[in-house]
Amino acid sequence: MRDENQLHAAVVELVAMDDASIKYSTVQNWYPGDEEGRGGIYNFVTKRGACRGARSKISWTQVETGSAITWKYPSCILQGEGSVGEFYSVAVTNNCQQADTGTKMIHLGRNTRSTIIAKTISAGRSDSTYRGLVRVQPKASGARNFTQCDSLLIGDRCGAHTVPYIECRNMAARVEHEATTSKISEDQLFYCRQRGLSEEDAVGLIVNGFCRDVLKELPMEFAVEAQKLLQISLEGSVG
Amino acid sequence: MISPDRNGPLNLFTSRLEGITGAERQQAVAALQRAGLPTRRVEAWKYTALRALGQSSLSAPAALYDAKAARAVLDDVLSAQDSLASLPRLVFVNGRHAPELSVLPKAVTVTFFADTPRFGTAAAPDRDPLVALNTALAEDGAQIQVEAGVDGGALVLLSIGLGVQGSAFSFHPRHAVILASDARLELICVQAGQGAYFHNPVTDISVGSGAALEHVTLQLEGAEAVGLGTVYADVASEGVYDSFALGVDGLLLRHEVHARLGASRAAVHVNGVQRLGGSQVGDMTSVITHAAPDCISRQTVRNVLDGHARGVFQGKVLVEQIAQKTDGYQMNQALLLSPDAEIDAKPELEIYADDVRCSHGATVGALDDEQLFYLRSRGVPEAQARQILIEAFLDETLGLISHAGAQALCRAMLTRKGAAGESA
Amino acid sequence: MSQFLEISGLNARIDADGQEKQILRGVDLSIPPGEVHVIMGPNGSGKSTLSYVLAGRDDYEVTSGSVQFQGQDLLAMEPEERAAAGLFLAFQSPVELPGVNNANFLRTAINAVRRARGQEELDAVAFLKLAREAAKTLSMAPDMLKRNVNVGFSGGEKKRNEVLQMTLLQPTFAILDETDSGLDVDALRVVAEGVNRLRAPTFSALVITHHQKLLDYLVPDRIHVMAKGRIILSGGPELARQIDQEGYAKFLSEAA
Ligand SMILES: Nc1ncnc2c1ncn2[C@@H]1O[C@H](COP(=O)(O)OP(=O)(O)O)[C@@H](O)[C@H]1O
Ligand SMILES: [Mg+2]
Repeated sequence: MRDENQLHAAVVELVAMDDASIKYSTVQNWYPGDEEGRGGIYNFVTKRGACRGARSKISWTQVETGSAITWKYPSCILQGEGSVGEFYSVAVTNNCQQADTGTKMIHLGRNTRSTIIAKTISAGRSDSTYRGLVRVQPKASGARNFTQCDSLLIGDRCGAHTVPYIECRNMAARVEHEATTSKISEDQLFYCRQRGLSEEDAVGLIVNGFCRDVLKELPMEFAVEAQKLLQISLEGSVG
Repeated sequence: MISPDRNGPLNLFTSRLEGITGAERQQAVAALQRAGLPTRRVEAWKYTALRALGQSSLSAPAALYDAKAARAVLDDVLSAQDSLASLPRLVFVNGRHAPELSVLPKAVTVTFFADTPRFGTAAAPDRDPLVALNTALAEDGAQIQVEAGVDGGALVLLSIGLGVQGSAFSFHPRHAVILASDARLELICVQAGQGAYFHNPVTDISVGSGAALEHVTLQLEGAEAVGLGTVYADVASEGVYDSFALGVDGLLLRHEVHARLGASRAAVHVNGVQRLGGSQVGDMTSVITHAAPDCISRQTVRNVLDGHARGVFQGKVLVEQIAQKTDGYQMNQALLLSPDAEIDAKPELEIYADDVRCSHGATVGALDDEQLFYLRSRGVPEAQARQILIEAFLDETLGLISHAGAQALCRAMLTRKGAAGESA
Repeated sequence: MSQFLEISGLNARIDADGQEKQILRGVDLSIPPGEVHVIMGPNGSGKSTLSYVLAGRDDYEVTSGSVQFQGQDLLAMEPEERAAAGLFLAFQSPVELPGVNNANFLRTAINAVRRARGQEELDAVAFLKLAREAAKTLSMAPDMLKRNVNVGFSGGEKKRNEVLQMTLLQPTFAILDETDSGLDVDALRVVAEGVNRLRAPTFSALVITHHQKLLDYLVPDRIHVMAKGRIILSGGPELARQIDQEGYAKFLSEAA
């Protein structure tokens, strides 16, 4: 059973009417397979949201630590005037995991706003990809998007990739995208260890700091759980 | 059998691809028949369609051309920046070397593809259909070589396209630039013309260790022309490939750079500016491959889009596992001047090494109302205020062109375009 | 009984861009318990390197020599083990930790050290009380605990933050690497008081500084002069005053 792969293929659809607001949080911790990449869940999920009403809001928050392969792109179709879409994501991959996740923000209505914060952490021989689309249609005057994608690599056999698509057809829109890739600096690690933290705890602490902008969007009890999960997922990735 | 649907507009070349001889060219034809010319279903061409090539078969250009018209294009370029007149130049008309318009350089060796065809090593037909098309059909081109330790100075490579009423044709120059170790060269490529034609140059570049090539390309093609320039550059240890592309005139423009940092402490800059209006489409695509440690890549591309113009930026930075201590930076910004203008951007990082510093950014927006108001409140008329702000937006990026004459030429062409835009 | 800290024949080098660079060239130094020793010396003489090697930074390779710390082989220990054993380094330029909350960081560090020392861990309430008190004594703005570690801190704030950490971690041996540089007089006194509060027969310190000012507050036991990777001269407190007035040049030429 553990050597085989199982498929999880869920569909989630959200619709928000006038002044409605939906916050959908996921902490995903399916079996990722063993260290050699045997077994694990294929997590192929369809999630989409429509902000139909004026001032409606859909906020996706996800912490993806499990599954052998994750493909998941929760979207927001921002139709209602002044509607808001948010996507906050932490994806951690270790060993042979692959995570390819991101979002689609389709701005149709006036003064629509979207925020994307995606943090990916890759360790072991894993690959982690942010793939996302921001599209501003001609009627979406006053639309705003801000995207921040940061990747952290732990070890030299993993990969971290950022593939954003930005399509803007409205001059009265503002789109900003930023992405960085880095590793945990030796300076940071050493600083923590000098203060008495084990290397593993130091990595955990720094990774949690790296993800803070996303974790703070989670409900309290989830956030605590998520922090622990991050630490567990990265076990054995340093040293 | 070439199907127009699967093979893109390859059927426009059917008759010319028959009966081609030579191993390299035949392999290229085979590659083309396998892959076709790209459609928008191909990821690298997601935002740019070759439909602009039209429906009629594209023949080889006629051997004779309008000498007066060619001279006029040359004079027009030189009048925009007269300091260039004193530089050596290689002039091509509809893809063939025009000795009567050229002034051969002294410090560098130039041979011509038509005399001694060499296909180079970096541009591979099986990876890239436009390179394959070029390989199959290449007629002529400049092969520029700078010996070790030699400063080749500045050289103008002017490709003139002259459309002919009622005739659809294409030309496929194959250029090569080889800098031996510690050599230097400033190469100013101007692609200028009038009317309709398809210009598909491929430039194969090798920058030796410690060598430095500044490569400025201006796309000032004919109003109905399609200009696709593909550059493959290999940079050796401590070499610098500093490229700048300016997209201004043409129906469809694409400037595509594949730069490979093959040995440590090499550097590439892939900068550019597009200033488009009407229903122009301009595409700046690049793939920068870090294949060795301690290399640097820098990219700044700015787009100013008016009318119904569409700008495309695709920039991929690939960092291989071996390329530790990579320092990569990429920034793409667009200014939309009209409600119908569009920008499509795909900045992409693909990273397999952990000890790297890579970042990219992209922004899209309109002119800043507050700044515009400030200028106007000081008495500057609106049109001029807009022009000032557009120039300010492009200024820093143009400042990245080291060769003063090339920079001045780019600025002059942008001012012209701005004036044309305001009067339209 | 062996000395509190005994450095003998310490040689260390660094691999700088593929080139081996010898930095420490036979450092001998012993510090008895309860004493404050000072290292002075021109820029680039290896003072920071010595402090990094003592704290266990592994980009420096120790090629020979030994360091005994309270009867243990210091060089065989991991950095965090050295911290747990009571060694504290106030960095010359503390690094920034974006997104890591200062209070959270401090509590994690303190509890890690307490655990290693077999002491009971502090709960959130007890910790905050302790941290706030310490911050107050150091005249730090209360919001410093809420900010990210060293991110956007001024030079002085960073140095105070180092002293705050020292206060809370209760080391038996503190190394202060130019903690006084760039500080105003008030901040200088705060740093000195931070060290003086720890002074006890079981606490020693190694202070790296260029200035007599800090030493006026600290009252050191011995002064060492370092040049080109070795201690070339040692003396009483008057040596520092002499250097303050006359500079290093005289001593360097004498030693040569
Ligand atoms: N990481 C490093 N890479 C290269 N050289 C170094 C490194 N660290 C220290 N050095 C060199 O070692 C010497 C001593 O430096 P340091 O210990 O910082 O001196 P001090 O603290 O006395 O000013 C200097 O020449 C410095 O440049
Ligand atoms: Mg120092």
